[in-house]
Amino acid sequence: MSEILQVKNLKLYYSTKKGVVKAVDNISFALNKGETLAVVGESGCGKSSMAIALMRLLPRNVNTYQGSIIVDNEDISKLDEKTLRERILWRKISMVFQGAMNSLNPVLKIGFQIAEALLEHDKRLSKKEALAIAKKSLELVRLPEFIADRYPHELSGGMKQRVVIAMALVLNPQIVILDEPTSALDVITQANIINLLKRLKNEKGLSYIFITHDLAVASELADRVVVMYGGKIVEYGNAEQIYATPKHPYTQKLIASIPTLRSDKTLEFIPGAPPDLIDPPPGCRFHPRCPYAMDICRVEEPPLLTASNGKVACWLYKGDIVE
Amino acid sequence: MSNKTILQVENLKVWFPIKRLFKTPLYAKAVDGVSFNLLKGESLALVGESGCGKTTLGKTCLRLIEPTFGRLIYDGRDITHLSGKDLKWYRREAQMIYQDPFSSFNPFFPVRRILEEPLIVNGVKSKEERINRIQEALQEVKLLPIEDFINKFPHMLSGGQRQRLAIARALILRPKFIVADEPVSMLDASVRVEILYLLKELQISQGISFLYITHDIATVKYFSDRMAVMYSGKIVELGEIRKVITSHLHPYTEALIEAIPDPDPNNRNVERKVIPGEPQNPVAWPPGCRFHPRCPYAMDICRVEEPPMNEVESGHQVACWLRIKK
Ligand SMILES: Nc1ncnc2c1ncn2[C@@H]1O[C@H](COP(=O)(O)OP(=O)(O)OP(=O)(O)O)[C@@H](O)[C@H]1O
Ligand SMILES: Nc1ncnc2c1ncn2[C@@H]1O[C@H](COP(=O)(O)OP(=O)(O)OP(=O)(O)O)[C@@H](O)[C@H]1O
Ligand SMILES: [Mg+2]
Ligand SMILES: [Mg+2]
Repeated sequence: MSEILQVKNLKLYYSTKKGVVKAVDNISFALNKGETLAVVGESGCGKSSMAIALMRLLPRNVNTYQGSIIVDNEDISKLDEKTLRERILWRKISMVFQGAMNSLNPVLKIGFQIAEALLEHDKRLSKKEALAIAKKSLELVRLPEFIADRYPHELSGGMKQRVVIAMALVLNPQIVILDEPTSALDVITQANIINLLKRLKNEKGLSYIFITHDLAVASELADRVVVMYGGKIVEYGNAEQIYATPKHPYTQKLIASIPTLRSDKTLEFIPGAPPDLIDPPPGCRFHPRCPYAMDICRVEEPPLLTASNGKVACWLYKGDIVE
Repeated sequence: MSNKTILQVENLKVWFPIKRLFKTPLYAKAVDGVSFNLLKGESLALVGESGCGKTTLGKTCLRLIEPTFGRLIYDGRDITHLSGKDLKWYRREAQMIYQDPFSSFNPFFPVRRILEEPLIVNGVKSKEERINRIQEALQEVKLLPIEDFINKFPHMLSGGQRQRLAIARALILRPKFIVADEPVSMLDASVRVEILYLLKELQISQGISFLYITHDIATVKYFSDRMAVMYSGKIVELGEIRKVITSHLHPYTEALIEAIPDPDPNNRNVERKVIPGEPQNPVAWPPGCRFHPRCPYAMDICRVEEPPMNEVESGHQVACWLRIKK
């Protein structure tokens, strides 16, 4: 399989009054064409920050932003803002933002909102053409055409989420970042949206980066899984491997904490709190909560190394390294 | 009523008037004919989609919302229209834990003050006793060591610790009945379990009866004994948790359970079987069975006549024409 996206040493730090927040701290991974990579981890571990870093849609208080982002063999981090907007964003790589369905413009009809986004990116289109494409995109997400003439408040949560997905797909991107696309929805609506995402992926050969804190939902789409903890990747591997034989103690605990409906198991939880990203613990960031912490874990940070099928950043696997 | 029941809910209706200029008001029939018994010391889960009336039902059971019709009987006593001193008594007996504890704490009060407030309001005059009760409550929810937490402000606590504080506040008046409305849905999975186990422990050790409101069915069997499934203002199925999960009787329960994935990488290779549509509008419920527009098995009768609640086997009730033998 060919890699459609490669991310190398990505960093995104924010400046705050209390200090520098290391939200994304030296992250590297790759996405294969037609594959879904799920990004999972607890609230605040840096998932959304990673997403906006890939799109270079940054807030004002950025302290550090670096790393390379290679899309289709082109390092887009080297492009100037204008080129990035004209050629890459929304056309090659696009995004459904966390909570986007609640930030639709309340005074604009749905059709116009999609058309407006289109016109922003393609100055050659006429208004009429843009509106026609907008209507087509509704069909893609299985919404009837008349929805184009409705206002956001007239739609249900599931319909709004479909609109937001239509907006992300309207310029035919190859890579779509989905940031918690179903978290605010009811289970039945969630299942309907997930089915839609599965179909769209097959129909259009899309590659997804699927961000969620819910590992059960992640398994609905994930071919591979990235596990983040405190701004870092702690494990990265095939879905089969991550769900059946997780390596990192954090991943193990995370999997053991998911309630299941159809099978019985004793649930575990992770005592303690996630790390402070301004002043993270030295060594491995998980060591204060890790049942296996050793001396080295408290002083030296474990690198993300290839172990047998997958990558893991944990000193327990020091002897298991393949490289 | 058996003396094993703590709360008996009889044909409860809660209708919210929607005022319309120059027209007769319409009603949002949020709860529209609900009956069930909550047993002493049990945890009953109330599940269903957003807007089906769970919170309204829970708050009405606590008399935080006025019932429109029906009766509420608590420990043998009719509490449907309690007021004044009697209502104050009930407010001590029965407590609520909310979804988002952060917004329900005064940000300028430390933990000690947050817990002391309900004691002062309810006339616990001795300072010493108040401090004892606060320490006891913190002990129960394991915010330990107590000295570390007692002077902290809400923003200094993690999500899980804040929810523990919310539980401590609910416990401080030693209630016998607690409505826990989505108490863990704002928390990460890794913390969620910890809080559910804590609630389970309190249910068992203190014999408190819980109404556990949630849309997250995967969590119910870790805390509750029975489960009531609510749809469009009505309870459509009620039974022991395992029964409802494995041998559910209502097509809506089936749809709800089918929609929930277990963590399994094979999920990605299949589409989930799922019903179309969205819940109905509480201002105009469909005639007949409220679920019929989305039901894959709808028959003629379902479109015209509302199915009654029917005990199909001991302790397992359902309101569905498919389960009524003619
Ligand atoms: N603009 C910002 N300025 C300062 N800190 C920020 C900013 N945006 C995010 N953060 C902080 O960066 C960290 C990572 O946040 P991020 O939103 O990326 O997490 P997340 O994994 O997406 O969490 P969630 O699951 O809650 O969405 C958090 O500690 C957050 O408070
Ligand atoms: N004060 C009110 N006035 C008018 N309508 C109301 C009022 N409170 C609730 N409703 C309506 O009653 C219905 C049930 O609401 P309720 O909050 O009880 O649902 P819920 O099952 O708790 O939903 P959720 O899972 O989203 O919390 C909804 O349609 C809601 O809009
Ligand atoms: Mg996020
Ligand atoms: Mg509610």
